[in-house]
Amino acid sequence: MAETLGLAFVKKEIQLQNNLIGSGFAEPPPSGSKRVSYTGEIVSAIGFDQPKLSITYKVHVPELWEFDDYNSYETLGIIKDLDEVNKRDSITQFSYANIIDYNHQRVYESSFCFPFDLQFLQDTKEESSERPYLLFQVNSLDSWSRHRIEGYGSLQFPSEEGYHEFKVQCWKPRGTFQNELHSFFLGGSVRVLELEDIIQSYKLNEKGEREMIPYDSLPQTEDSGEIVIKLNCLSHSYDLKKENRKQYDIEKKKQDEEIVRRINAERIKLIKQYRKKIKKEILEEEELYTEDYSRSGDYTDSRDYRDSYLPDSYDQSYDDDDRYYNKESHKSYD
Amino acid sequence: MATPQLHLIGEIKSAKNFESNRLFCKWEFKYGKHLTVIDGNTEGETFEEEKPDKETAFYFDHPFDIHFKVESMRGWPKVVVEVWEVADDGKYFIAGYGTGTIPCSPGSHNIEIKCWRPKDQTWYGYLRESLLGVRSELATKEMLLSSMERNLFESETTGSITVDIGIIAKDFELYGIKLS
Repeated sequence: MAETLGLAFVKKEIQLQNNLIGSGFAEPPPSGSKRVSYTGEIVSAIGFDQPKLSITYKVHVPELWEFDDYNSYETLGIIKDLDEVNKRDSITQFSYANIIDYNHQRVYESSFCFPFDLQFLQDTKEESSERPYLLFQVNSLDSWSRHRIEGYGSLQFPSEEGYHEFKVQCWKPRGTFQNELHSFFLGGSVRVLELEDIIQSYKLNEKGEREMIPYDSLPQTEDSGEIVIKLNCLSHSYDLKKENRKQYDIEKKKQDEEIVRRINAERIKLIKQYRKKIKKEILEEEELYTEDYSRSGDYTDSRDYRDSYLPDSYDQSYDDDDRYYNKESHKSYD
Repeated sequence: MATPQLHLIGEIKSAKNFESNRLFCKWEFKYGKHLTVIDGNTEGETFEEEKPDKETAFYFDHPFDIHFKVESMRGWPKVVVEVWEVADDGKYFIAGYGTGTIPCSPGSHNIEIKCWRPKDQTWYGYLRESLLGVRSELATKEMLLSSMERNLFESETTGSITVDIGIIAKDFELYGIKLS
């Protein structure tokens, strides 16, 4: 009794869980485009000269890509929390560094734990290898509150889905002797005008055409440190859904067929067994019958046998008939 | 066809590089509004670990087992840890806040969360910290997961927390989502 109660409870729990899970998911974007989501964080900065650092980032979006600011499933048409998701640019706190051992050197490490959450829509009708960039600028603040730029770095988002960990190597431009002197005593440093410039390998000339930057005019740079970034890449597309569903259906059909086949095989087996059993029984009965029949041959002429198989009234009626016959015969004789 | 489901099974493994010899850790999983917890606790607190001087790390081995239903890609879960130190005189103060991104690819992972704590930059604050042992804490913990209010905020790097986590994902591919 207790066992059955327990089973019922478990069954009910499973049903409840299934009800809780339900079905449904956000709609994928229409065929020909793909939703790509990058969620991650700026973990830390390692190996910079100054202990107190802050990082600003900016997202560079190439052609064929755009921000997916909301989808109808989430907001029911009302635009919400745009400020936190898909932040185009932001700045971390100033983090004071610890000293750690890194590659057999004692270097500064400042941690940020700074989250970012970006969602893009990619146009997959045209093939292109372009992906969005994260552009970084590392700033420092010293004890006299002098600002300096400690480095620039860029990270092209991965095309492969999954969990990634990156180390972005940073560099900083080197100025003239005068600039360095100014930077040393008063703060401030040579900077790039716009962050997008650090990933551009061309410039626009007067006619508006693309032109390679001459080698001589590129700035001199020096190494600074590296930024550690962890991120998840997820993609959501209609085509993949369709393909997977098709495969799923085929597999399910196969499975169902397999199940039906097994059940049928089992049934046939049972039927065969049953038939065998019945045949056996019939045979045994027949054997019995034939035995009786053969044995009855011995008793055909015996009186006992006849007596036993004749109805009870037979003797009497026979006798009666006999008497009647006798009577009539007597009469006739009379 | 059921909604995609996500299982997070693992443990808060250890803590490293913190100053004090007595430590405990509060942890919480934060997630978007399109994720629903079906089973398991999303927050907890480890016991207070006292470390001998010879050892290099605190070991908590605090288990968790959470079952999510996921209805959108946005709001992927994150783990937020809050480390508290105990001074010799029994005073509790904050040793670090940290967030860790939960990997999306199924399998077992090892995450290291680098913690920081807010730093009082004023002279008065420094004096208060050194004499009274009072340290500034965050008033609202929403800040840990947002990029708001971070500008010109000052913090100090402390130790790190290690989390071992195993991820099981179900039915994601049927809705057209590629995890790995």
